[in-house]
Amino acid sequence: MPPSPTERPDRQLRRARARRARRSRPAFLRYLVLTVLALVVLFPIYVAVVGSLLVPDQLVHRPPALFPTDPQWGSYSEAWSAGHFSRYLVNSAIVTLTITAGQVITSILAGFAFAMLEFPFKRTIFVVFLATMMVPFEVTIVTNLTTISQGIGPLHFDWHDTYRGLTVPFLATGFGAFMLRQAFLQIPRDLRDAATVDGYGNLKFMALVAVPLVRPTIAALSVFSFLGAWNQYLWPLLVTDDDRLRTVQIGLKQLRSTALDEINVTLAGTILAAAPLVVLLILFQKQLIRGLTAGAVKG
Amino acid sequence: MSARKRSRAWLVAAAVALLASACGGGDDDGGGPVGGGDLPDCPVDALDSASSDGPVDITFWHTMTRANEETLVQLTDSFNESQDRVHVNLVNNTSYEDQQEKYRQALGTGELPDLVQHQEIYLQQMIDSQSALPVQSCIDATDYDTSDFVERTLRYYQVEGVQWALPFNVSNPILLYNRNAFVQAGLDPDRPPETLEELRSAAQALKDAGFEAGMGLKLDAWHLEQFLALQGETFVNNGNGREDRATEVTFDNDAGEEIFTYLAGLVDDGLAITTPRDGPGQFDNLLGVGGERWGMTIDSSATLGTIFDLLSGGQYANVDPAVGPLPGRNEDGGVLVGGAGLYISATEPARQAAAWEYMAYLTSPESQSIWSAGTGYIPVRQSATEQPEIQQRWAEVPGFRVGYDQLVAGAENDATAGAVMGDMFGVRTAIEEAENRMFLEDQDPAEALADAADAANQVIQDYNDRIGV
Repeated sequence: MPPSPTERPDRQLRRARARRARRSRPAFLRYLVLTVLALVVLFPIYVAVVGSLLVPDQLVHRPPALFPTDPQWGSYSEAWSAGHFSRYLVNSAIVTLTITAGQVITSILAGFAFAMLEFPFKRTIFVVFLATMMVPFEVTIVTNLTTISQGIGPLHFDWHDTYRGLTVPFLATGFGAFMLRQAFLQIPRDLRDAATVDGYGNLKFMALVAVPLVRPTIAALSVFSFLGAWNQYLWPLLVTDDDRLRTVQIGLKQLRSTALDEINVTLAGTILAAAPLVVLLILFQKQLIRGLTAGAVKG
Repeated sequence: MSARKRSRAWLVAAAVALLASACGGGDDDGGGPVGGGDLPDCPVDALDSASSDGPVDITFWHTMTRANEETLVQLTDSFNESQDRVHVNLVNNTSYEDQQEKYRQALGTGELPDLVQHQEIYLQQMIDSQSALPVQSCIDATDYDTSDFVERTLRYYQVEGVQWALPFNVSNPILLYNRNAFVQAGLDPDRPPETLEELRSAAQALKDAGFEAGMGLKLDAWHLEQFLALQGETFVNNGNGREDRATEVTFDNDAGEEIFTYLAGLVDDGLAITTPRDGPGQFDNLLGVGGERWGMTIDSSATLGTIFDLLSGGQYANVDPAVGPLPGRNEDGGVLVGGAGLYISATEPARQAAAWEYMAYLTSPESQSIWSAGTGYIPVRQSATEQPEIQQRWAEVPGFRVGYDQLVAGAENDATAGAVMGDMFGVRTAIEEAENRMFLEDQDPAEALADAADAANQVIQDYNDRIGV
């Protein structure tokens, strides 16, 4: 309600102040709550970092030490060598980047087709795509393993202990196709018509107009794919015997020790394996949040 | 190659058996050819011709990590360098459970290793999978002398007279106690409790001397198995599953009830405090000894390395750790074997022979001495104890020999050989749940035992039904 012109200026001022105060009190509370929650989330990570630096005596101390008085950086070099990190990190990078690129490309193509093109059984096929999201990976492990080690139908594969075995089963994702379809649906029809008038075919429109418009969604999908691929454990364990092909999560599990005084090395390995993800999240934080909410309020 | 195709088809059949055992579903395949007389051949001569053009490459799946893995790599490197017939590639599959999962999947695809280390509880499942060449075949084919093995470690992997695997890494539960706490409580630190009554009175003395409790008690189904075996009592029927397939448990008797009542009494009277078996609290029973909350605990001999490293210095300077045998043994009983055994899972003759050669090397007295000194596992060969590495280790820390001494002491019978049954993991879970109800929810011991037996019988029955016997 606008202040009436008859009101005195100092009263107006007081009201404005009160309004600001009303606004800022909840803001203060909000930050307080968020700070507390952030501490709750960060505390275990802090404990892991501290734990990786403790001497064995402090590690088993109850209550546990919360500050490394004598930081043992050696646990990181031990984790690095005992977990074969120099080799395994490279493998994880190769596998993760291949899977991420594959998922992004196939999702763009499939999402665009579902959003923009007309073809027979479109709805049915889309539902089938969605259905794959309901099937947990564990259910398909046996068939996937048989496929990559023996082939399917007339095709004969022998992909045990190869990068192909590690990546090919994950190059397409129903979730990604769904996510990008929703994004492409938001592109106004007029834009499409204008491009058609300019003589753009489907692929050209997709590459030059549609994809740049859905960049936030693509960034979000990339991060999800990256996270999923980086954190894979069971599949790489099942399809590799060769140390030269194994990934960092296997290395991390190899650091597992029953010895009480070696927990610091295990923790150091955990932090080394998670570090690339943290860097990635910081770099792509904005896109990730925008991408997640992009489809949520579609009109 | 048609031979390879055939072996694949055979593998698929084996996979069906093992998958059925794990995932449910019907299967009309029988228990397999168990029993002497019709064992497959161990083609020991196949290696001679195959290795004439270079060493035969074999793959060994294991789950040893850290110091244990380093010792295994060291042993394997020496083996590879010492001869040019066999070359072994080690594959570390990180844990018993994950490796078992990988093995089960591999039965379907045929990507099996040539040699595999499986935890002791998978024995029945390995037999039922029909994917292993019984070690017995190779022992017979080479007239291999097994008399030097610690008998009980060998017997653990024997079913119906057939040696299925060779023991490799062995551990068993010991009593860990703090000598200083014993002195404070007026107990003789050189004489740890030997019977269950002495264990209880020692716990009482410690509590009376001001400790929070006498002992830390890990919530572990192993205790029931071990205390039964120490009294010469079987755990399942049909000779502990060694004469014929086990169909039900036998521990729902007076002996079992006594053990449950005894344990519940310790906890109820505040003489023992229970601690978790895994998760972040898995070392609490040991840390309680270090922190002088209690004076005793029971844990695996495999943890001794850590214990002596940690509890003998720094903040635990007041603690003087010592080791005693697991209390409660009578003349018919003995402590059980824990750990893992080695199975030949190769299907090609030359690889089978190569796997056998490497296995024989790993279990030789010389290797076992190095292995035991490097890892803390108990040697499986008697003459290994005369080797320099073990002698030195035992001289440094006498507590290390307790696990071995109690394994060669006592009676050799079906009870002390250990129980073999399908899905032993499920049975242990059933017992653990019952123990938890007894300790934490005050369920009556007799009732808890009856519940444990019912649940365990169901697990065994389900497994046998799935296998189709």
